[in-house]
Amino acid sequence: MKENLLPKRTALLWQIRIGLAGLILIIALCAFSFLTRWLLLAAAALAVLLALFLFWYLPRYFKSYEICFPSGAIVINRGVFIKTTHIMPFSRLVYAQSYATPLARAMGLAALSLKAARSAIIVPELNAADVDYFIDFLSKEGKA
Amino acid sequence: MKREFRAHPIMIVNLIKPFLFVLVFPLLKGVIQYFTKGEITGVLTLELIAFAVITLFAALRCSSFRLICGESTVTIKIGIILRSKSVISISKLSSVQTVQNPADAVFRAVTYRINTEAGPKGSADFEFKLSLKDSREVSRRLFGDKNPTAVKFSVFKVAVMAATTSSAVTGMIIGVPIINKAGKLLGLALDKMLYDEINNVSEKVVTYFPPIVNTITLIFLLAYAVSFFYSLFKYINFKLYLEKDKLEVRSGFFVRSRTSFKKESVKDVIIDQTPLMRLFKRYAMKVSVGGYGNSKSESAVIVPSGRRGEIKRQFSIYFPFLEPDGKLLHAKRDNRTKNRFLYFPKLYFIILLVLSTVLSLIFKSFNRLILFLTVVICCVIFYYAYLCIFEFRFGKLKMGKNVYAQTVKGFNTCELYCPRENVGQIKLIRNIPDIPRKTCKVVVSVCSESADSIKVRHLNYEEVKKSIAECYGVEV
Repeated sequence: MKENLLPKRTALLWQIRIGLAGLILIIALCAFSFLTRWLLLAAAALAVLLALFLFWYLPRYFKSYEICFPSGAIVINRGVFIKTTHIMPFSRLVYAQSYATPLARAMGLAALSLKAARSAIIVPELNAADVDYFIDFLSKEGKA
Repeated sequence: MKREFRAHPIMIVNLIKPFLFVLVFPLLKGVIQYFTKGEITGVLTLELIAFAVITLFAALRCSSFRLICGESTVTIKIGIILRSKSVISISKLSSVQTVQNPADAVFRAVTYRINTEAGPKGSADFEFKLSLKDSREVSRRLFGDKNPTAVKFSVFKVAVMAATTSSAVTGMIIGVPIINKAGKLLGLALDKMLYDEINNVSEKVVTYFPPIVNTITLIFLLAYAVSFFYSLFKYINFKLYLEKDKLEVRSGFFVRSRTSFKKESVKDVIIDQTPLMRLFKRYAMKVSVGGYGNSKSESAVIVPSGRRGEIKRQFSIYFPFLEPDGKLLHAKRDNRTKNRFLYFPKLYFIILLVLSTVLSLIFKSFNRLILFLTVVICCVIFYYAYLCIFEFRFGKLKMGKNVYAQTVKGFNTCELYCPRENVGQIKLIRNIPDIPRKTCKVVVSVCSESADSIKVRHLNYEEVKKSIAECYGVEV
């Protein structure tokens, strides 16, 4: 029962977030290009890399996300080049924490962090309502 | 029924603290302006604006705080820009701690700490300020309001514990930053004044040993005194409140602290004895609670000081479910094994003798200092040898429903009790001499944030393997 529960807006949110951070860096490099022309070249290279990252890697990374709930556990598979599987039995769960940035809130999303002793599993931005439902479910089950 | 609690306004101060560094930027601007234009303008205005902004954010963040106590969960909401909501099942709480410093007492507030096993090491998972009234209500909702039995420990017992657990090193760690900060605040070289005074006093004491020995001894004694008073004021007013499934420890003089935890949150219980406690035939009982406290050891003192019988009696009352069972494992009680236990003390003693002889031949003018250091290290080695003999005679391990181990840890002797399911790891170590003698060293680590571990040496390898198989069903 593998499924990607992440809404498509999550991919857009990641693209905006990383795009903005990259853009600031490119603008900074351009602004300081009066020091050396090499900075302009670096800015151009960064722009190409950023475009590649935003429009090729991120969609694939988003697609690779598989979140499933086999009996009594959460399993998250992700990764394009390096595949990672994270398994956390609910019995080890200590508490759940949801958090949202202003941009994520505007898009109706919230991220979820599931904390166990010495480890944590982070579920990227889901629909805020789903996050609340998930936390309520865990609270009712007495798992978090 | 759910109930919502808000933070005490004094929490604004706590929220401002991490952002005070922002106030440095207007100063930097002033410095740059001074070097470029030769004048400084608008620094104070900028400082005021920066302070107003961080205070505003702190106030908004403080007002956004909500603690919601439900029937089986606690929900904590905080944040204006980055909003977070945490839901914790009450059954998963390790401990709850309230601390009231003098400033809190003036505003009738307390620092409330909620600890779970999942939090960052060395700090509470959630820390906030509540009014005293609200904090009592929250604690009542989390742990119920049954009438507890209070056990009060006399100041003498607390003083004995403070005296026997204090050390000069702890005193230095506590004292030196205080002296430095106070000196900077008063604009005085306090450390130099103190050092001169120590020098003056130590020069007046004439002994066979050089004056540096007196100075060092005096520094160590002063540091020990600092550590003693720190420990005494930390644990004075020590009271233990007992309920059927909950324990609450209250202590402190200037800073009052209350720590509550369920007995089931206890990872392990340690009965330990420091060298000074050994002299006075006293023991202390501590418990390790997952995720508790901001100290490295995450342990809470339950009984500060008591004789062996008294401690054992109290252990049976508080933790009857931790009584040890299973087959007793210990090292062979013969001369050969005794010599193995004493191998390192003998080796260290020989090295010390050789080293001190060589040094005294090379540096003849430092003979008295070398003699002093040799005597001190010799005493330490003899004590180590004594502990090795203790380990030989009393070192043991029991693995059943609960795991029990008695051995030596550093310079302390200790006994560890823990349920077998709380054991995170059992390590069997076999050195070259262990293989022909079919013995091994067993290291039991308790599963917790900063795990307690205990080592029992020279046990029979086959018996240990059999015990592990019986206890955990794991064939080694």
